[in-house]
Amino acid sequence: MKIRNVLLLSFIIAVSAACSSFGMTGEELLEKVDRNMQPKSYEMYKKLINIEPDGKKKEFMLYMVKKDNDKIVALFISPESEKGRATLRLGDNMWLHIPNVGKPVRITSLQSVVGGVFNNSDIMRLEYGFEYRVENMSEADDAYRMTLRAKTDTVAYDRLEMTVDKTDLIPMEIECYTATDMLIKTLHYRNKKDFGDGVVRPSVMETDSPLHKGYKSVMIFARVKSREFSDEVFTLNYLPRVGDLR
Amino acid sequence: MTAALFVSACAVAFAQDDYADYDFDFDIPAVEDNPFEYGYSIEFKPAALDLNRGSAAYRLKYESDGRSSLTSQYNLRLQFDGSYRMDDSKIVFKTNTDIDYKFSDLSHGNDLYEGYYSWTPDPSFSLDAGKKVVKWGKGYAWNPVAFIDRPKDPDDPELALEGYTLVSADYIKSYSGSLQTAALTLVALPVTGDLNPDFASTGHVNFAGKLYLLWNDTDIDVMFLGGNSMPNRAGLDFSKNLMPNLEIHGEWARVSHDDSVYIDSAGNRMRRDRAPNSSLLGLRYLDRNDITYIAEYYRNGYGFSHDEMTAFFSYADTALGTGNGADIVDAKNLSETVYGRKNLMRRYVYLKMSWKEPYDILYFTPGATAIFNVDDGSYSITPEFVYTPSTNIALRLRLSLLRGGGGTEYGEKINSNKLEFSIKKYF
Repeated sequence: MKIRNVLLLSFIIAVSAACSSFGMTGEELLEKVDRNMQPKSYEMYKKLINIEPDGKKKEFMLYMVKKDNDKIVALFISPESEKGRATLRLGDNMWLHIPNVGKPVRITSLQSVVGGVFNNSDIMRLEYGFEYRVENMSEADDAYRMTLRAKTDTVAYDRLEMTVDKTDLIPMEIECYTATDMLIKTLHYRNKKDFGDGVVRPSVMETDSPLHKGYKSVMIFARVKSREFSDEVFTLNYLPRVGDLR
Repeated sequence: MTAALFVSACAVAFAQDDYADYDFDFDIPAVEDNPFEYGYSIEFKPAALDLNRGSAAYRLKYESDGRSSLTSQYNLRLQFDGSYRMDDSKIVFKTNTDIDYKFSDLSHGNDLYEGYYSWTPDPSFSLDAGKKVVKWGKGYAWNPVAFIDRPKDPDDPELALEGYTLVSADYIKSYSGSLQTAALTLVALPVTGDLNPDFASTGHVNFAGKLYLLWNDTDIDVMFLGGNSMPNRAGLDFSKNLMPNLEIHGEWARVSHDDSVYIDSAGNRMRRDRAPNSSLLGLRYLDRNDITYIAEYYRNGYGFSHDEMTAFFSYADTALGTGNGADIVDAKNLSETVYGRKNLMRRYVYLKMSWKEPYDILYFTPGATAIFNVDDGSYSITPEFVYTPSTNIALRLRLSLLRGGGGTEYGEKINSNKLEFSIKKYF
């Protein structure tokens, strides 16, 4: 019995030592990445740009608010043809409100809302730590590399390969794979910017995809600001009014 | 050292080239500087119709005309919408102007679709007063529980509709646990000679309510409408994701009584009082290729049976055959009122498929819609193509094919085929 306890203790110590060999566990690193990328509760503006191989561009602007790990709303404020469309995500539930249709309809995270490379999941991203668990972590000279596995099948990408800047603990590149190990897209984070309130993070995310060769999608972040919201903001009834928060 | 500088310079040049496609900074429309927001759209919609000259609808309307079986019609639509914000309240409006050229007639109409004052002192409470669209129900093509909405067109369910003048209050409460949200909506809808005269009988104030629950990741609504303008009614609906890419929804509504007219098999105009139950069950599915499928089964409690519809068509035939003016006028009136509703029979199946950007053709969505009348076997099939070539421009081409024998719903429509093109520009 004694020997078994000693062996168990030794095993626990060994695992703990292995996990902390990088100074932190994978989950702790992911938590830091999430915190560096966004406050717990915030508002921000995003500009999406779809760039076609011939250089033709299409731009969309969104206003977004988020609270806790599981509540996020995105509202299109331009172009005019998309204005007023709003998407609400509450945990695994996602709804789309189209002004003409009048009532929100349930949609999935896999659906594309604006065409091009982005889908709902890219736009309505919750925190990585909420959707993924760390399966593996390694360390290079200037970066950490983590393999993240989706916690549920409601997430658009089953596996992420995330490269994290060792100094700032913000993502540099994320490869997104399906359950069949097919690379769907690669996200490249660029242009680190101080948004104030201690939020220092990349302001640009470029996306390319082997499925859309020659096409590029860009997401530019602006006015990332910590702000508190009541839970009722993240409900179907409030969704048509979310623009009032601006 | 020189080599290192050269590499760095190349890296910077490469990076700049990479970024040359776009700017990092962008202007964000400042709400505080401009409380007035507006936008408008212009849509031009020409259509070619293959008239069904043998149908009851055509013969009742144009029997004496010598028009050809192929005709065209044109619609120009202007929609203007906007809002003006003041602290915790705002004024919202939406107008619709139609200019139509149909069957050699030019007509136009201006309507205020929405115009209301909205007060939201807190995200959990809001009060709206004025003309407003209130859309209830989870169905895509039909909504049996949409008690205070104008009926939508199953052939184009996303078309903007005109609202009713009402006062509504919304109270929302969020919870943690299996019940995540509860929201209560109460509506007062007056019907007078000037206010909402087309809703139902005038001289009454009607009250409606809806309780919404998000319970165990399921949307549930329970609603009612009471008052003296029309019979009382109650209903419920639900929507839930069975899988991440599969959603199920349903609606059920019961009306306390319905006093309606119909033509019996002997050709007599009859009245009946019944308590109709209407229901709908639907699925929405997204497959790996980004194809969305919507399937719905609708049971219309107000609907006519196949025999009743056959009796009406026979009644119209007889009236047209005898040439009796009074009978023809009566049949024509019936065809435009009681028998003029969309999907007026009992059982329907709706199928829609839309494929987002097939073969990487950006902003292009082909699709097809089919509506089957289960009672008489007639149907319509509408393939369509939607393309947005550039920002704020949308193109749509659709071909509606209506099929069915004599005495069937789609076989007796005024046209058998319709080719329609639409170009819409947003400003």
